[in-house]
Amino acid sequence: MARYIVTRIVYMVITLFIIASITFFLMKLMPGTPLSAADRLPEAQQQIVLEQYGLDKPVPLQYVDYMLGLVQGDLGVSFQFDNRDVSSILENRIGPSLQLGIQSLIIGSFLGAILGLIAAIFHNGILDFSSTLLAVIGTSIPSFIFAGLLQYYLGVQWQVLPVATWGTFAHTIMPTIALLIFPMAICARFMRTEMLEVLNKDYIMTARAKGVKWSSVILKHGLRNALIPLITVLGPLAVSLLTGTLVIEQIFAVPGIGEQFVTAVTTNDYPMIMGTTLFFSFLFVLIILIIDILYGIIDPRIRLDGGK
Amino acid sequence: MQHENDKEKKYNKELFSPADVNEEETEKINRQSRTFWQDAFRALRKNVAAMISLAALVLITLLAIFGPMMNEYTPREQDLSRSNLPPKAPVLENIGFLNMDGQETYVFEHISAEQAQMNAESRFGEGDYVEYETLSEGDGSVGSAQVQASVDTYAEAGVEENFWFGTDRLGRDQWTRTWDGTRVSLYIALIATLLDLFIGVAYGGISGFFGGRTDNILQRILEILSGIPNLVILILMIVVLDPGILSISLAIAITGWIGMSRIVRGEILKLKNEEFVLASQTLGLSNSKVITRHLVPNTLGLIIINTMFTIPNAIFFEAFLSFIGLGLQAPNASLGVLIDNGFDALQTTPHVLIFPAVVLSVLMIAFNILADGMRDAFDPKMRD
Amino acid sequence: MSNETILEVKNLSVSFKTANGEVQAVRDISFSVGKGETLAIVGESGSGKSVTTKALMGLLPAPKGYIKNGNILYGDEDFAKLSDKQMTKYRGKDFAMIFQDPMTSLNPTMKVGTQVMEGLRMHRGMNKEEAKTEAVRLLELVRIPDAKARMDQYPHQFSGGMRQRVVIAIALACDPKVLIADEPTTALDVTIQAQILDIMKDIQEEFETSIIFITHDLGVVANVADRVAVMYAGKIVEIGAVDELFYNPKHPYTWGLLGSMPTVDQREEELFAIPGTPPDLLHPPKGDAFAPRNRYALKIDYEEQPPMFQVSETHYAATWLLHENSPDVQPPASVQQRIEEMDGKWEAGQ
Repeated sequence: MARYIVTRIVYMVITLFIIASITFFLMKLMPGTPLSAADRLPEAQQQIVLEQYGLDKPVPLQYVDYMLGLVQGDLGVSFQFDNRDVSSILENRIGPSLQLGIQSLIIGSFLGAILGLIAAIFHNGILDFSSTLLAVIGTSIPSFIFAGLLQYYLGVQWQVLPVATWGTFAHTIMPTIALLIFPMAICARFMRTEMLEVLNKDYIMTARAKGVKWSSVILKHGLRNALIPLITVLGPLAVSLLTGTLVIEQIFAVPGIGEQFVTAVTTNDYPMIMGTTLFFSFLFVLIILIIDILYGIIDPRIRLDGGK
Repeated sequence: MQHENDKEKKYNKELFSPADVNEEETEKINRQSRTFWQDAFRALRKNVAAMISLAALVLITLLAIFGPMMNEYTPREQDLSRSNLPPKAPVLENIGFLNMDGQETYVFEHISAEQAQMNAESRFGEGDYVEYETLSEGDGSVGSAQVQASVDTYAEAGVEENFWFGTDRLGRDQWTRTWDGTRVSLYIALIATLLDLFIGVAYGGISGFFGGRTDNILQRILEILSGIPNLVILILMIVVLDPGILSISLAIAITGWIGMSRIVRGEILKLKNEEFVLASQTLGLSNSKVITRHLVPNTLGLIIINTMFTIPNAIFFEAFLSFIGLGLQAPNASLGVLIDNGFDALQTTPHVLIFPAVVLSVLMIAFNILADGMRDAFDPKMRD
Repeated sequence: MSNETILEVKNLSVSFKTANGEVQAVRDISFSVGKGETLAIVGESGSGKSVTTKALMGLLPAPKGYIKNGNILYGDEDFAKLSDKQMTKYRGKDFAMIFQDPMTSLNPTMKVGTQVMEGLRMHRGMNKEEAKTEAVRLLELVRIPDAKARMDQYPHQFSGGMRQRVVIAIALACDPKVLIADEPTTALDVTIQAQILDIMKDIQEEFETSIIFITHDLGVVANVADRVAVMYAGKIVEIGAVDELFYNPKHPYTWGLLGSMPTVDQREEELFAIPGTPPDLLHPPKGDAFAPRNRYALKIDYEEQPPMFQVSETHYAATWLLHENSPDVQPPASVQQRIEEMDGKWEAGQ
């Protein structure tokens, strides 16, 4: 297990290094100066600005500087926001994004697991059909359409929840719902298939032959075996929420990283784009790693064999 | 237990002579045999939801191809004189709840009916395109009197022709734009499918078939590649190129096929160790024969299923990017762009949002249901 | 072996609903099991032997599989009439089951000890400590070394033979009156097979358990059974005491089975193979289902199903060859020779 984790971390570092390098050089390939506003400044002042950002040095030196900064968690300085550190902006903005992401992942996967469980227990019944239909709709209809419907009805027409922006818990409800539908639907589908498969296993027959009640068979023998593989989808789901927050934060005007990111792209704030990109990549590989390790810890077959 | 209870029953002695046993007959298999694919397609045809989805997809594809040609407007043609017209279509205009008659109703409230009427007239004036109706006379309190104005928006704007899906703020025909946008989604679906089939299957197949060092190197590359979120790749693309269909296609080209290659590799690795493949290799079947006779037919189902799941993901990816403004840019139409435009005027002109949103949703649902159906039909494990 | 009957199955029919129609997996079978007796049910795959045991346990895969007709009489109860809920009272307590594949019949995410203790706590009302002590005792009974330490391990840490011992320990937890073993040794190595069979024999002697032993291995049958029922195409075609069946088989299918059994001192003569394939139970044939594969088939075999003809007090066979009008047909020479060989070995062994 330990060896497995170390290997994974090495890959994680290599991946991040490659992403950082690609990001850096692509930025350098960009035509013109990144300081669009600075174009209109007199020559001398432009020089000052370039020096200020370290853009006058040769590219390899800039690269080394950039990489050294990264190791210390320095993601550069934003062009747009009064020369503030990218990392400090991200720090300020991460709260709402995290809250939305965690809320929707936990509630979504929980509801999804229950839906899938119900569908599997009442296999081929009306409950199975409706929850499967719900799951198909949930995986199919893009979250931004859901978000629009929610905003229009709950916010504008019936005025039960604040239309947008951030502040109280009530503000988090609509974005959370819009975000959780996808993980919920995925979990429901996954759970249903997994549970149906588990219920066909021989050990379920053994448990029933022991005289265990049907409800206990499902809860004690079925559920645990079906839930363990569910952990594997949580990783990709968490990642999908990362991208999901981009739209949802924009629609509901949530001051999170996603909204910031979209703004940065549309205003060509390169350090901000690079910083956020790297931050996303870091989260992405970290989540995948954590989920893999978690899986190893929970499944006794992997835990005790010392890794696959 | 059933004893010799019918002993007294008389049987014809002739019956106790040996029957002629036909040796050939005994080896005959009783049930007619069907191939795996016949079985699979039979199962698929019996799946009502999947068949409806297939029909919906065919219809949408046809509309995407021919829809924009069905009237004289072009996707970018603007005309402010006909902006924000609600949908109006012949025949359908007579079906009340569809709301496709080009009529709009507004309710004006005031303290008295006269004053409400005055407000309404100052908005729409006099003419045969507008009818006023007093809903409530009012009792003098604020908002108690109501006057409803029914406006024929087409007559008001002096437009003779029909706009089946209405027009947007700039007076562009939404029918043409919606189907033009659908083309983008279908194009993305095609790109994703081709990449899946060519790069994904080839990469996974090579990796799995040759194994050893080749596999090791290819998998290490994949490990790093899959560590990069596709959004990040897209961002890098649009920083270098411009946001648009090319950037999206390239982003899909770089990472979109990874899932497929993993599945194919896993399946090939599994098949390679199956006895029937080992047997034919021992018997001297060449690599290419092994691939075409055994490996391809046995992975085909899995490949088709996986492609079907790739498609809605790719369509979503484009719509999502265009929606947040990182994909196609105005004045180009894509369903994501149209939905984004629709959001801006959700309260006044909901039709701008509804049509592309419905088309996108139906497209996604149909692909997903069809994919589900194919998985149930083509994956022997899934069969009950 | 006493004569007290503990379980009686009467005219049991089990069907499965499938997309193509009703598959009649078990068709009107009757048999009984005495106290402390071992009844072996033999037959090829698809003959309905496993389905029969699932029906006895009330474990048919609902709603596809169902008991169409008949009775399963145990004490005052008819299991064929009980609901799944009512059956839980008997399952694991009066009736226990050992499954074929020890690699898959244990819950991979539950400790072995817990799986053994589950039945004890449920049916015998033991508290955790009592159940633990008892579970260790059971694991020792099935000769699992170091049982106490093994309690906290997971199934994947056990070998196949050890897992099957655990499965047996689970089945024995509540001193069942009837133990149903569905090919319990098929998936195991021959040496392990012998050990498992030994354990089962010892337990039967100690507790007077009745065992229904499903197998397609006639060698195992000779080793463990008191009586044998031969199933073909969902029907019992011959049933009798083990030596009656081995030394005086009456049904051509039983001849085929005996003839196709390989022996160690196999000489140059070929194995006797039964030609053809079993019938499709979606549309069972009109007469004797075995007729098309039977080289001794009579014309009447294609017209009418043979009834059970009594051979001796305990021996019955369903073949028209036993009818007074039928020609005198003897088992083929190779089978007769086989029977003589076995006889000789048997005598030498006794």
